[in-house]
Amino acid sequence: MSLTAVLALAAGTYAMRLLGLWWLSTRPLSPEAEEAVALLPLGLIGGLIAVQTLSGGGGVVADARLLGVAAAIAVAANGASLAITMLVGAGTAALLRAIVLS
Amino acid sequence: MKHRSPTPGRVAADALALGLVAAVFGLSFGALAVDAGTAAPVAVLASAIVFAPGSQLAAAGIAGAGGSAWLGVLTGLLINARHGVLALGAVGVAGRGALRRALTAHFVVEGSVLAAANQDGVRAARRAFWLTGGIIFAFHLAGTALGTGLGAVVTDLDAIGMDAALPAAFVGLLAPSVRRRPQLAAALAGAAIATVSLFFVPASVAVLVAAAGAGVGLVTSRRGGTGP
Repeated sequence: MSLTAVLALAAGTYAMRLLGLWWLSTRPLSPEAEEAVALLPLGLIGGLIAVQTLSGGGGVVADARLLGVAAAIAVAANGASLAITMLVGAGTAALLRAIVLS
Repeated sequence: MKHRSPTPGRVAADALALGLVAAVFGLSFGALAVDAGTAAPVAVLASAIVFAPGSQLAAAGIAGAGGSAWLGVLTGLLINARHGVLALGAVGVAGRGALRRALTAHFVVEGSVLAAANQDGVRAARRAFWLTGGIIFAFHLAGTALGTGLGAVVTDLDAIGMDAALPAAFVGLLAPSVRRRPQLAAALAGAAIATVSLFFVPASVAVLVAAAGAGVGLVTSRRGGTGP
């Protein structure tokens, strides 16, 4: 990556962040709209989890990641901390790969 | 109401865990960037001013594979468009004042926004946002610097499950919020929308479309209060 490319990526990324924040701060919202806006990041991150778990080969792929994330959901639902949830997810995927590859 | 927001200690512990993931992605980005011919200071600068690991890895990967720099930038920007949506969730945290908004905007990442959303009350949300965002930023930067030094030593991160670590960390991050039903409905709908979208659009666009899951959350809220 050249310095120019880095600066362009940084400027564009910052502009999008600022645009979202500024656009919303300048207008009064009804309680309904406020609730909808508060739910947007939840939908987005739910989608991000699905994409990071399933995307591959230009579509959907089920591999070790899926079982790792399933295990993570199971421990998180039972009150595990973020660190434990993450370790269980990564560990399960790594273990599966080690078994399949050996 | 049974719902309790995470304690300050829990917020700090969660932030450290997210920081570690950010450090590993920084490490991986630093190594990849240097291998692809990027000067080490430029790679570290990228982590400081772009501060979006996924886009940095994609852009460095494209550069490393001999692709054009502008293709890398455009791909990175498409991946980062979601930060514009995430920023909507940081309005309350930013408060009033141009400088505060300008500064808050740069620290909009999943971890900081969700940590704030998990809290009740603006002051607690603000504290969670800055603690989490600050730790992720510092760890990402330190990881990148380390990665530029290690270079090709950093090899197959998938073998140790790093590709599952990030979604698993986000699951842990969502956990306190999705104890409330509208939030759970929004996240599940987002996941379903994204999965279906993956068949038709690039992954970065599928994530954006998933924000529409908020609509399902809203309907759930209208139907049955904030239970359980």
